[in-house]
Amino acid sequence: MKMDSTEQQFIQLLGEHQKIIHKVCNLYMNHPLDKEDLFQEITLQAWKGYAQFKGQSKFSTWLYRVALNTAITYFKKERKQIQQVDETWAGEIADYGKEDNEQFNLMYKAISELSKIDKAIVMLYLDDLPYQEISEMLGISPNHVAVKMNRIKIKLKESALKYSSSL
Amino acid sequence: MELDDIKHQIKKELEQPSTNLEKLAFEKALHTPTKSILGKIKKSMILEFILNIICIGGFAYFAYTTDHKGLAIYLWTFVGVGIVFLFILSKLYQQLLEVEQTSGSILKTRLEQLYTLLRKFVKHYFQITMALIPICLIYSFALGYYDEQYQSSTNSTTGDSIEPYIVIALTLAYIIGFTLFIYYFTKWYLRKLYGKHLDNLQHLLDELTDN
Repeated sequence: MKMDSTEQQFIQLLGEHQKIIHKVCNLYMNHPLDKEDLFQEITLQAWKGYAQFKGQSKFSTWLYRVALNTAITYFKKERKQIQQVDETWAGEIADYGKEDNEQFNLMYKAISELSKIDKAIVMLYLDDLPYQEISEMLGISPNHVAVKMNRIKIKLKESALKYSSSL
Repeated sequence: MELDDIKHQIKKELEQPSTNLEKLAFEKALHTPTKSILGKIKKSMILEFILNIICIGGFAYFAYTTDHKGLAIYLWTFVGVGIVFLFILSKLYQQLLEVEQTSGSILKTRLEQLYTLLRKFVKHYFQITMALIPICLIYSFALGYYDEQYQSSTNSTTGDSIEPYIVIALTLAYIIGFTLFIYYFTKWYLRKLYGKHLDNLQHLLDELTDN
């Protein structure tokens, strides 16, 4: 398949910022096939909107928006999670201490059960983005983001506690 | 444990490749069909376009070739309605293409755009279908009443045997039954196709703006 220069430039940019897409896929989907589907969809939506990207913001900021918009409005029914995925994933984080590992698992599980909007806020927060920037991406005020983030932290703490007591 | 305590570990974990990139090259992803809600509406619109054009062509042909004046008027009316529908569809399609290109807009704007577009599509679809009910009924009764051949055949076979009040009652029952069926069927059909998406979008907007 022959590519034109715009397509090549776009693919190169996407390759440089692919971590953003991986983060969104890992956060919003559990099954590997669903992750692949979402990955494709984000790439496609980014390509469709690339002509409108005039460079007013950084490419990474723009890609974050596309990826989150796509993941949040992606209503395809998810496949059932399979056990193997958890095992693979557990292996990847084995370099942490056993107790840390457990805490990590609990927190990760709690995050995976958040709503789509809350997941977006958590992801941007994990990237150390200031509330002002998060609010610009979501279209709500910085105060509103701060309130939501506080609620999410409480929710995560409670969920992690609940899961640890049920172990 | 607080989220901030393991912030970096979680970030690192999320950055792990979610798919096998060798298998899933970016180039390939650019040319795969979309699974988004916009893609679903786009497909429906294209299908409606095609069906509409076929119907307009077919109705226009029969209206032009038929000897029955009443039937010709009936079919030309449908051609007119079809053209109006084509016009509405093309407007919506244009909007959809615009929305499609703004995939990198602010989340709230994006949700509002999608919700408005989907709602408009469902509303117009419903309105056109409902508008066809009186047209169908009025013309079919007018045709039946004025067509000489129809009148003579009814006179020769059933003219004296059916009381007028029975005819009126049966006609009313037919009108009510037909209208109710089309009304509820269209509602059910649109709800089944797009209702869940509309609810989801509304829920996301509510959650985002909820204080």
